[in-house]
Amino acid sequence: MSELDNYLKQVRKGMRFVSGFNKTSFCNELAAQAEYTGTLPGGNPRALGKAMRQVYGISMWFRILLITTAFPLGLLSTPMIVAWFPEFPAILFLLLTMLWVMLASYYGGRWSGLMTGLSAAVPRIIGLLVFIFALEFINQYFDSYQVSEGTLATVFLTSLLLPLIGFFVGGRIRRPD
Amino acid sequence: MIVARKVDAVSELRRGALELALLAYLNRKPDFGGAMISGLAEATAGGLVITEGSLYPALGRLEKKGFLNPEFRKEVEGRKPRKYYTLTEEGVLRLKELKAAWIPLVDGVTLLFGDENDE
Repeated sequence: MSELDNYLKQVRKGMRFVSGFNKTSFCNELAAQAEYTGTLPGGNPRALGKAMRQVYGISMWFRILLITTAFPLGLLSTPMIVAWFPEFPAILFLLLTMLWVMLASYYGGRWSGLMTGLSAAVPRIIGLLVFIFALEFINQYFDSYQVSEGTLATVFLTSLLLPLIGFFVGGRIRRPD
Repeated sequence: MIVARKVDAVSELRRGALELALLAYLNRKPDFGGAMISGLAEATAGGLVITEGSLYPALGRLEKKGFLNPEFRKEVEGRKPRKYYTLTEEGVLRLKELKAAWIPLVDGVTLLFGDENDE
């Protein structure tokens, strides 16, 4: 592998999750520069790739993956939905969901973070509404099912927090240049 | 790895001026990234020396905003095509806008230096 190939490989690594088209287009541009100057482009190739990822953003497929995965994570983090399994670690899934939303915000930016947070909040809000408005109906099938007001309030507030984390955290995280 | 970025005042100043410099440079003639690094240094008499790390992200941002029109040209057979950038109409308008703000800003700040200019 030539030095240029190695350099471009590092640039591609820095551009992780960017669409293949943008990666190839940028690497071709750098290769043309190397051919013109007869030297390798300067600077840290991986940092350059990361800077370009900030410009191009991550690919649509990866955004969709982040958003769709947040939904089942949100579902598993809803205490009233997983209450049928008493040992189920809903709190652990809530932490995982928050980390996932932060990851989406870090790689995809504010709007991806917001959409991922909303996707995770939807099953939690549905669970909340079901238990506020359909508890009587549920109790016809399940004996004395009850959820405390504190739990409802906690689920509501943490659900609101998810899209907010997605929107604000990503903009606050700076990557090394 | 996530780290807090240390802001260097000189880098920030250069970064702010880079958009205007690139638009002004490309308004003279379309060019490709590889030639722009040395071209800018020459055109500014060494006043604006940039690296790939600042050039390409800046070009990418300007392209995304619609100020630049990129075009791959295969100039020499057997060589890789070069990505040439030209200013769009929006780019020309943006250049006029930035230039109108830049000149009084630089003149005004230079006046503040007063006698220090002679040193």
